[in-house]
Amino acid sequence: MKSKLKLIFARQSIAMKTTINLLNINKIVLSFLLIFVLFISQTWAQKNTYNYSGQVIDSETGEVLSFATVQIEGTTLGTVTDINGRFKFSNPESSISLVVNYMGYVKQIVKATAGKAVTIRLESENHNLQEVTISAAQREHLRSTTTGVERLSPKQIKSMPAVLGEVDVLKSIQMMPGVLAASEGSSGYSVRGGGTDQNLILIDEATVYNPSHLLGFFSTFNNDVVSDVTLYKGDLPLRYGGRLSSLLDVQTRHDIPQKWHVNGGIGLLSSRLSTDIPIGSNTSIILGGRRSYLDLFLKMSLNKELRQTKLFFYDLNAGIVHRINDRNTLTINGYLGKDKLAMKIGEFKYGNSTASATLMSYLSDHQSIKTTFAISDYSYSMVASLGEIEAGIEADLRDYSLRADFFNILDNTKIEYGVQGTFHQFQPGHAWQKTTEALDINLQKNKALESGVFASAEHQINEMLSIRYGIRLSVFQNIGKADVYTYNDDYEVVDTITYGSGKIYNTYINPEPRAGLVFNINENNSIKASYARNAQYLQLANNSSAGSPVDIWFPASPNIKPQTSDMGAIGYFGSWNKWTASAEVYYKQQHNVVDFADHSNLMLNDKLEGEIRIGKGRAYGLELSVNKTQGRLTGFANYTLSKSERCINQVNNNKWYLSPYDRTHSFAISAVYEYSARHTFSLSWTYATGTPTTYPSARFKVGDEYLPIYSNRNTDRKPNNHRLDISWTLVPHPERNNRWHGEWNFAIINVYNHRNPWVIQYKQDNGTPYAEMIYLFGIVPSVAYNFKF
Amino acid sequence: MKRLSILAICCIIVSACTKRIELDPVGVSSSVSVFGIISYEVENQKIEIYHTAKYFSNNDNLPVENADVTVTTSEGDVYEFEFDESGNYISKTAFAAKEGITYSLSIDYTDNGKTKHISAETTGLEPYIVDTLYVTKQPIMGIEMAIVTMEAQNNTNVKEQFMVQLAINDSIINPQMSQWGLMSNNYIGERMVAGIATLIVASSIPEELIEDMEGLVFDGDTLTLIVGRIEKGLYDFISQSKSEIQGESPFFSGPASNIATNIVNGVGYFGTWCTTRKECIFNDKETN
Repeated sequence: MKSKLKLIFARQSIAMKTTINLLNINKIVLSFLLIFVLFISQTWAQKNTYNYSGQVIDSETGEVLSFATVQIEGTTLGTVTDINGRFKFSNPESSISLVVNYMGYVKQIVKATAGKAVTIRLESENHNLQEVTISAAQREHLRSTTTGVERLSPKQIKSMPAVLGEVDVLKSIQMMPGVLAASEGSSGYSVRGGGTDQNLILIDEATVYNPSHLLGFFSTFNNDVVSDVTLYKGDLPLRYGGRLSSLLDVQTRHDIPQKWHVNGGIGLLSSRLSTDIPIGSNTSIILGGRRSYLDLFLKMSLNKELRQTKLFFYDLNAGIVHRINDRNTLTINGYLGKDKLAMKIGEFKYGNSTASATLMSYLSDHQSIKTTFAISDYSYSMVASLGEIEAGIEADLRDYSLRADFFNILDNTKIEYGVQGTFHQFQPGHAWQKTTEALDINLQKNKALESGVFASAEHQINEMLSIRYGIRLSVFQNIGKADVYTYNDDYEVVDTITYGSGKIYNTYINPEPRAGLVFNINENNSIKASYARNAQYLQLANNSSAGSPVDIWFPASPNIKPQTSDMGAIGYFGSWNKWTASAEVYYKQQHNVVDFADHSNLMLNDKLEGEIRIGKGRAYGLELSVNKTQGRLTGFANYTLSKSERCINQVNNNKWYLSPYDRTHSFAISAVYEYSARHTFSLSWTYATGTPTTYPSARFKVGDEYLPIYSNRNTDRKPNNHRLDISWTLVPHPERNNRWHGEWNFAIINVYNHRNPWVIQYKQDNGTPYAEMIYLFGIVPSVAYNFKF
Repeated sequence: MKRLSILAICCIIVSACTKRIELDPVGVSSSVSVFGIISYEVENQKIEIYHTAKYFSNNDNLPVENADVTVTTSEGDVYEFEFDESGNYISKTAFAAKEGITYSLSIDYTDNGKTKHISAETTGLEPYIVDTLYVTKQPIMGIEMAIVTMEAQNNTNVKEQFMVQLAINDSIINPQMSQWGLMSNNYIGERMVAGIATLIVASSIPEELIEDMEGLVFDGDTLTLIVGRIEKGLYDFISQSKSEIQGESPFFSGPASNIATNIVNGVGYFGTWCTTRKECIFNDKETN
């Protein structure tokens, strides 16, 4: 297997540094689109079919049901509803019956007439009803041509035990096979051995560069406003690119409910509130907010300094959905999140903000366009005050992006194509000091344009075989004003070239082919295979695997080639009644992987590129997963066996070493038992091999102080991580049929008080060095009250 | 709810702590460390030569005895060193480093019957002129602090590194390597203004606390700044050593890496420090 894969991956990165200008790029993009449009027109011309369309909604609330299965009765042909609950497809028959399935809802069979949109209202299933059909999620699990996809609903996320009652999207994602937390308590995660910066995280199509609150304890995503979370572990949809390892696509709710809804929760650390407000039948507003209140309790302290301390995070989500007409829907979303720690001696704050507007247009029963404009911003600042002396440091990264995605459905063929562009603005660091002009460091701002054009097709060849193939052409251009340094072999600057404002001084082009197939052995079993090439043009200068808010994003440049990866995966997928299972193996090669020189200085370094070391990486593994999706007892058990290595120039004597994200074994078990309508119990247990690290093995002496001598990089490992969390949800009055629904959630995190390492430090006790582990928490009880009406 | 919240937060704060752990790192072969800085003041210069030891062992690092240690200058002068009872090698004659002169260290010793050779080289740099040394007072959190500041011209065309020690009444207050001050003229304009130390003004704290406090400055004390250029390699060695000794931040520390060295066949550093001195008197009443 390994040798065959090597043949496939022998292709070298075609990262071409050219002097191609924007005009030429646009010509390429337009030509590409033209060819594709012609291809589609030709395909259409050959067919004579009837068109079916409609929408699937909740019969009680009117909420749209995304990813519901719509299948032609008596066949395996069908489709899945989009994010707005809509579906469209063509069929040679003029009248058909549709079988509509959605997990947690009663299956419906409805007659559909060609050319007439149908609204299908599904009823929520009774808890005691024994559902025996294969759900939409199960069908997607079996029939999708994409490998390595994990999908979580807000309900699943909410059912898992949460630290201090704060349910967390990213902590739930970290339990999926092939996904591991970068460190204890961190929102950063590694997918299939990749770095934390190799994950593209989107909320409503806008990039989130730092998805953490409280230095990683909590994620930026408020589960109450989330409608769907999908993780693609390397085999990304072609409309997305820019990261090597994964895409986390977080969608907030975009439905237009029939009634006004309020969701909320009061936890020990924070509280949250969200509401859906329908305005007429075509418009809805969603608002959500969270705020932690640790600082409010500090105000009760007897210590004056503590009373003046501010320590909190908050985030706000807002969205408007407006159905302009039957064919056009406009959604506008915004997110604002901030963390702040302020004391008398200074303050530290950081935060993300995003805004996006999406117009979903159905041009015909076959064709739709999704046009999105998005802005993302991440910034941090630190200010220290010592009497009259005040000093600070700040950094910022901002993106403006515009994209148009075209979707076509023709009988058993789905075609997607589109174009996108993102303008990046980096302010990697500005340091200042008041009272003296001696310090005013303003690192050079960077600008870059990242654009892409893609086309993909998915064919259902017959009832057993579906294939998907396509290509993405990504282009990255550095734009002046800029001073570009030339480094010698010792990474010392030997020349500087200055480019004027607006000048495109460097261009990289990467073709990214991706393909997949699914072979349906029978109704319950399938085999899938995929290949994906991804390119990444931005990377994080994080000198710590734990990740921190002050990490700096920096772009590819004449000195830093773009990172690329080739990944192949093959897997078995099964689904029976209430169960699904999968087994996947993957092999990934990475090129131009970034690491940092020994003792590199990444903060406020205008020669940051001189600290970068480039090399290659490889990762491979086996992922096993079993899910029970229906019944009183639901949950999953996931196991991953993997290895991730790097070989970087001038690091570890140019020899292969374990990536900081390598974990040999990892287990995650989650179970939810619905004992009755009143009581629900859940537990989760995670285990992972300790992360690779380098311990000091010898010491030498200077004066009375000892200094370490290290062996090769990452030859040791930190202690293994494992933790058991449990929770109990109590619904006081489930029998009451009034609108108010309240529930108590009691949880114990780290039940058996295992101390998982966060950082290992080396200290000296009477001249004898010893190791000390810092761990974030022992056993932590919590209680939260959640409500909705 | 408030009480529960406080209880839970206390649980996290209290439980988030430390635990001493036993580690069994992958071993490296034993070696010899060398550390010596030839000063610009005429004196018997000192070089420390020790065997390395296992990091997590109770055994002290043993000195390398009976080694032949010499320093030869580019002018042909040879200085011999001899092992003394403190465990260090001291030059038999007093000498000082000079600008532009290269100093070559040679060490020959026997280990398990085999003769081994260690060498290193360093060059004296130009002395550095400090224009003024002065003290200002600043109240910080109810205590008056004395901020010791130096001013000097800066050669902005060349990136340079400096090392600093401060003495109060001829007693150096930062004798250990992890306490040595380091400066770089990176980012600094034509004039270098650098805070050297922050001391506590003794008259601002109750008398009964004075005995237990360190870093105090009294009215009339003589403050002596010892400062000079050092090589980039020595700057990196001390800077990296300080990080290791003081413990690196979990957010800013990178992968563990060995400390830079210029010792051939060993670890440590052999360098020069072209020191100059500048003095000022702390006048409590007249200082603002």
